[in-house]
Amino acid sequence: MNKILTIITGLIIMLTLSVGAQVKGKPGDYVKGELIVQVLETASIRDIVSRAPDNYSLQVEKILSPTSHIWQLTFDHTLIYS
Amino acid sequence: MLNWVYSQEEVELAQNNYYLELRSTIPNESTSGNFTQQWHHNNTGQTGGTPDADIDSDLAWDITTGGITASGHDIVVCLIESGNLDHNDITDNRWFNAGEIPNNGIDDDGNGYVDDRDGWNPLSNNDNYGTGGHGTNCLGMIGAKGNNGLLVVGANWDVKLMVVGGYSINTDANAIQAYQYPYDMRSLWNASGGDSRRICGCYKFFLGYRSRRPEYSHPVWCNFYTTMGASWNFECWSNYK
Repeated sequence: MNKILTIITGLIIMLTLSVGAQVKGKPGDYVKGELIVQVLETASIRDIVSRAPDNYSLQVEKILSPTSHIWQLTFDHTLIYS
Repeated sequence: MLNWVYSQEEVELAQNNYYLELRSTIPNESTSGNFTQQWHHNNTGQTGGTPDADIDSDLAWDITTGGITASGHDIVVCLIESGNLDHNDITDNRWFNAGEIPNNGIDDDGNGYVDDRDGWNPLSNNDNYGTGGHGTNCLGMIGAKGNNGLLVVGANWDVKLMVVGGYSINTDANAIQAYQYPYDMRSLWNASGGDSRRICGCYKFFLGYRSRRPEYSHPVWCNFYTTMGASWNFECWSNYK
């Protein structure tokens, strides 16, 4: 039983690491210091940004899609990895 | 950063702003510019290729060469790229925003875009999207006027060609902004009861991602893309390597 649990746990960890690596992508494949975020229709993007730690320097750049509530944000990529 | 953003409960999806790449490599040899060289329509091996490795356009043209829909509306194809709608083999099929007076600094039709007479460039906020060679070739393949005795023939001889973007569309953010324009125009067309020339049938997008699975790395883009397809029954094409 313990052996099965160990195998399942190991598989979950491997899968998580694999997907995580793909989500982050390779530096150079994306614009450093920029994010694209889709929020709930009722959400305030400025409220979200205001909650970020100061050292992230997270800011609203512009709205990309008003109908789908997609925003472009910027942050200080020298201080925090995307 | 993504982890922190995702920890905010109002956030549905988040991603890096990935660079995009042109999906096609254009050789520097010029084409002869006549129908027999367009082997994709009807391949008889005339350029050394495999006979019948084509889309049999000639057979489809027996049924229709394009025109209006069954309900009497124009069909508009939007090219997300840079393209020359002034080309003499294309200009008869160009789309333009009939509700907009060009270059008067006013959003005449109230669609949220100022002076979008000939389409839209979301980066320069005007309708100047350049005259890219690759995009012009694509326009020609989609809808160069047929049976006019000029250079090439499009798959659809009688269609309205819209161009949005320009060659600076090279990130997900740019692409979302670019796609928003035909999305908005189609929305307005629906809201107007179909009394304008804003109908859009499909998009063509010759950009792709750099070697990754978009469903993992580009969730916002993928969701937006799906939303467009589901909302107005668009046919959207985009590929990744």
